[in-house]
Amino acid sequence: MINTYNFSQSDILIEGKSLTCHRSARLVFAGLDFTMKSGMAMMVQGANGAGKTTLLRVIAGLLPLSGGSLKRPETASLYHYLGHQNALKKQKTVKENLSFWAEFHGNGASRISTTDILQAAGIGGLADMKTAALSSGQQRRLALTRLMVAPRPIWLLDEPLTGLDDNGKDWLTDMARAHLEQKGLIIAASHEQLAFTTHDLKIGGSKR
Amino acid sequence: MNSFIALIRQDIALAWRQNSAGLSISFFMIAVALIPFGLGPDLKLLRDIAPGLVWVALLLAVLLSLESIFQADLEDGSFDQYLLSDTPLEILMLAKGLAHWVGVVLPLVLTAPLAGLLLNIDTPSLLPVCLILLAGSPAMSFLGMMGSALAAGVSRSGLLAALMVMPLYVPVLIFGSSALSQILKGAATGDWINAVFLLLSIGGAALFFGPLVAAAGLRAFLK
Repeated sequence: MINTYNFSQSDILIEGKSLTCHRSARLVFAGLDFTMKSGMAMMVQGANGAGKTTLLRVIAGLLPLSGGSLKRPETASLYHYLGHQNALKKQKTVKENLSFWAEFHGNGASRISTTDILQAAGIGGLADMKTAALSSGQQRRLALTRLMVAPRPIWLLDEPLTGLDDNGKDWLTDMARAHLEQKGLIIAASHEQLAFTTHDLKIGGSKR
Repeated sequence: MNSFIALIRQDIALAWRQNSAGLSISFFMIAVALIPFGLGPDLKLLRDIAPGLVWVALLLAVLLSLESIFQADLEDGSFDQYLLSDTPLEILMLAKGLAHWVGVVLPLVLTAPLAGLLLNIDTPSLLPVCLILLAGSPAMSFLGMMGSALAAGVSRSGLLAALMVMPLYVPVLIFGSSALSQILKGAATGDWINAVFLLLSIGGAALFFGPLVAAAGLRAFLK
């Protein structure tokens, strides 16, 4: 359903060795090790403030590291980052938001029409609604459709389940499994168990 | 290239939908319309101070719109997406500057000469006045975006941006209003056309440096 791209031509490796990160003089995490290859999905677990979001942003290249070594593909357009914020313009309609990201990220190269994508996301009937009128779960679904309009091998998902109902979680799981089958790579931070992850990474075992 | 065009189109559409230009135009018109009430019915005085007045009101109206350039993108997470694009951030900032110019400043500048009528500027001068304002308009957007980017992320960033940008607007104000007074005095085209080129070259320099400064400022803010 998602697309027919296959990422296996170039195997992707993300390897962190004793990663350490400070944010405004506070130590967020230290000594993180992990190795991720194409086809793997890792779930990052940890208490509030343990640094899950920071780790994802570091991997995306949005934040600098203060120690350790991180091997990652440098090309920014290999990464999809789904943050806490949905990167949606409330004044625009659902369809306009999706088309914008399709053009911005995907160069309009998506082989699936926006209508079909919205249909798959379960918000097909809302295409012409103002995004502000959507519930938070529906907005989350719309943000997740960004993963479909531009095929990129590395998905970094920060609390992807926020606001999603069971139906939405199933949709995301199917989408993620299809992505892994195509040799994609997923790193997700979540408090809830994710059905598609194969590896776990715990940050911040002790309280600080 | 697609990202560049998509971003320009989105920002112009948003400016239109939020009526940013409309707000700035209304502010400008009201500011200009209030002056005669304060000064009393002295037509000559109005005409004498019109050049400086028009420019100051215009720059203030542009300052009002500066906060909107980056604030929403930073708050709703769009900015992270800009960083994960093949298109360099500097080019995307150029897109945002151009969109601000087309979506907000250009409509403002094109309606501004109407206010000239309130200030007793005669109709034949309106076209040259429009030309001068137009020549100064790119500088308004691209100098403005520097301040807007440097102030981004601070609460009430609009005020801080205004404080930083105002000194940068001084050369525009000086050359712009001296050219306007020349026109209103009925000077020949040759006497004020140099100011047009000067304003355009300030705009050109701002067009080059604005996106660089904005990208550097926003990167520093995100780290």
